[in-house]
Amino acid sequence: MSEVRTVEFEEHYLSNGLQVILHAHGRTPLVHVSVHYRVGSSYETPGRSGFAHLFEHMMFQGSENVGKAQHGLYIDQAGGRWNASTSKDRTNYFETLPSHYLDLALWLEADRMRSLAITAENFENQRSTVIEEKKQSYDNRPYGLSYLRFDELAYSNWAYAHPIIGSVEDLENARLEDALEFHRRYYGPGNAALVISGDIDTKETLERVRQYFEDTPDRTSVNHPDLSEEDQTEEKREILKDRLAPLPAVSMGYQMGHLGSDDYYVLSLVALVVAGGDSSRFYRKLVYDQNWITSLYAGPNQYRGPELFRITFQIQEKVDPEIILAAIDEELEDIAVKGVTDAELEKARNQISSRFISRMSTVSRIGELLAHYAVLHDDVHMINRELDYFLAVTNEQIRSVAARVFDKRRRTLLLTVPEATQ
Amino acid sequence: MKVTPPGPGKVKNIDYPEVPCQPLRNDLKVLVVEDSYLPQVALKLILPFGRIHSPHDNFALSELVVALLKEGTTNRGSREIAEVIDQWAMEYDADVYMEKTILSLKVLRRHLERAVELLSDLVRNPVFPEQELERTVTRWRSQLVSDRSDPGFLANERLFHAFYPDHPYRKVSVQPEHLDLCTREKAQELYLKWFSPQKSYLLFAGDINLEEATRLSERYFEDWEANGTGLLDFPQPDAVRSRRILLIHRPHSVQTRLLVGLRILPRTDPRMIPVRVTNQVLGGGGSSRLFMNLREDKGYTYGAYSYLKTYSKDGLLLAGASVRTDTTRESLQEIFKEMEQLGESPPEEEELQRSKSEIIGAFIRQMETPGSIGSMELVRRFLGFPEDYYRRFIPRIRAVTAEQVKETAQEFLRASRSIAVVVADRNSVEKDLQEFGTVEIYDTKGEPLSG
Repeated sequence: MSEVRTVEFEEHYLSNGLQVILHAHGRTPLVHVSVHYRVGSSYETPGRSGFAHLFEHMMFQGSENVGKAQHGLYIDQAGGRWNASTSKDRTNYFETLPSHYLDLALWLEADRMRSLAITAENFENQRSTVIEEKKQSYDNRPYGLSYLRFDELAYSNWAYAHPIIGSVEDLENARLEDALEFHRRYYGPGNAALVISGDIDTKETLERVRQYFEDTPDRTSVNHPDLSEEDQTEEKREILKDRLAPLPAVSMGYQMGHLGSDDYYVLSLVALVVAGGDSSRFYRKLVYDQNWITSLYAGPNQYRGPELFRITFQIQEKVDPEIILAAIDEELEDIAVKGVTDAELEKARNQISSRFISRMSTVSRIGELLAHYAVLHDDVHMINRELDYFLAVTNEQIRSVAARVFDKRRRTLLLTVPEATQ
Repeated sequence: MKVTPPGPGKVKNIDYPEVPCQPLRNDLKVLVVEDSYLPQVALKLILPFGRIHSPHDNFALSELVVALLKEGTTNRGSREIAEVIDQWAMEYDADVYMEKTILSLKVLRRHLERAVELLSDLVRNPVFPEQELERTVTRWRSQLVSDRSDPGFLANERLFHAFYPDHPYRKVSVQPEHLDLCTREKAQELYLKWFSPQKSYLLFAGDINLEEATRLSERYFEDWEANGTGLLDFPQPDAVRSRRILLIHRPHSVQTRLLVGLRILPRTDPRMIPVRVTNQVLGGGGSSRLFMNLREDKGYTYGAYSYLKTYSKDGLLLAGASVRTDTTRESLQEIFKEMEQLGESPPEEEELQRSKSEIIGAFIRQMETPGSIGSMELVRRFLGFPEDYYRRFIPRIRAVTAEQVKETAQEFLRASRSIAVVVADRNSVEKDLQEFGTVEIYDTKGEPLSG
């Protein structure tokens, strides 16, 4: 599709294994620097849940030449923005700052890659911060516990089943030695991708990268988790009572293939047909016609391993969830038998194309996309190819994938019901 | 021996672009930010219509009017509108703020005219269909139940009611009984009274030039008649004389939500420049005093921040955090302490420079896309900031001194004139809070409870 810009980039590997991806984009004097480590919660072991995320916090606690919490101070001083996040498959650290501070960002990332300060005091403080984060983001929030419970129910493999944030018990039992070992194993150049996108000269930037990173030895020894999931043969259902939930809610998920599989492209389009906008099938039927539900989401996440086609919604008071489920089943069966209409397919393609255009708007978005393709697809070139995979999906594929995936036996269903508090 | 970080390279200047403005015959002003990097255009229409325009007995009506724009016009039904938006992959948003409404429609370049036509239809020909109104109100009623379970929502509502009793700025949240009063006729009436091209601005940002934007605007907007209504006038709110502690009893809370408010200044007051720097030092980011103290030093919370909410007649500085319940008293004490300390001694030079850089950096990031530059320009004109406001913004922030920050804090960051809202289970915190003075207690519906 000619309207979508090709993203020009360079890809290099340093002698210590660090993958370096550079994208020059000089429209605004800004640069985005992002380091993705190929480690997420799925790399944890039972009894040590929450480690990958706890580590995300530890990475701001200082290193050989950077004091506690100074990483953020330096970036703030430069007028930049910084953050980090942990998923099941990877952890990323990034900053967007005025481009004349590029060296600062590289120096900071290199320092914490090489020499993180993992002390008992830092470890203790971040452990309690994370426990508060869990309360704020899940325990004290409506549906927070359902969010954590759903993957536990849907996945039989512990790697994806357990929550990223971990259990309070495991966090409390975590030991400093484990943190040190975790850092050695996963946080080195050989297990990382460094992306620099923005107002840069790529040749000069590569020199700088060598200067800051090349002397960092690689000591990583990565244990890639087994993510395989058994084929589900029976529907899983559970009811969860939530004192904070104002309305009943449903989370459901159908077993499907991983990110980048045919299932993924086909079902991403199906998600748009059923829930992409006010003219979508579910929205028309469940909101416009019947006024049965309030919020609505459908679609896969972006997991390296086995995904779920998720459908979540909140139910209006006094509406029987079974009626809604029957209506959803009817639509999904219809797609499995007849496919979607030509107009629906065209609309979904327009929407996907438009998203691919919009996502090129800022250096940080392009930088994170390059890293996403590098780490989750193992192929940076996918950034320029992936749209074609979406646009190539045919109605015949939709029918056959829908017929296989939308099978109630392959489904997990969690119903959250408000619990009276008085 | 620690190595010091590398210094900066050569600074590159960033120029705020010229944004041409073309008034139409009906007084609607057309603004254009031209940038052909991506083949798309963001359309935004800003109207002088907000929550404050809702009637005194029905805070829902302004929002309802705006929500129903896309639910039916004299030319199209709600489904047809949804179909047009989705078919051409447009992104539609309608946001109602305290004193303004922004309708936006992002579209691929080649479908631009369809989007301009649709936007014109939505804003000029709404019919507020009975059936869609009912549907919207039913969904909203459920949403209210959700809202009232959210500690952040409860804290915000209580604070605005406390600062602005009997003032339009209290209209930040909706009660179920407001929804009972919503009718098609009332929505229509409010719409007819306030929607007008006068004082409104239409922005085109992206792959388009002024000539084409003007042509499209003339074609689809010039015969929109002005109704002669001016701006809503209302008084400055009253001052807060002494500190108040308001507790919202939210049973089974596993954390305490704290929100402390202080009156500051109206949005366009020139003293807002030092106020912004002062706020940045106090709680503007992950290196600020509140964050460093409550999270990094004490581990009471996942995050503590302060931020500004400013309007045409007044503004608030709000400082908040979700904290471990057993640290409620200490956390509140620390927030008050940080506020007072900033008025007692000026910030360190390094802290001051960092805070200014953070504000300037955020400003530069806002200039990355034509849509966000356009939004800045819309707001500038709408609020009546001077022509050179953004061009002079960076030098004016840089010019703020440590002494000015201290003086600003002395004047505005007075814990003794703050209003603090605490959302928690009263059984775990009430006794501790009494140390700060009389505790006024409310339930989650907003009704006072006996002490």
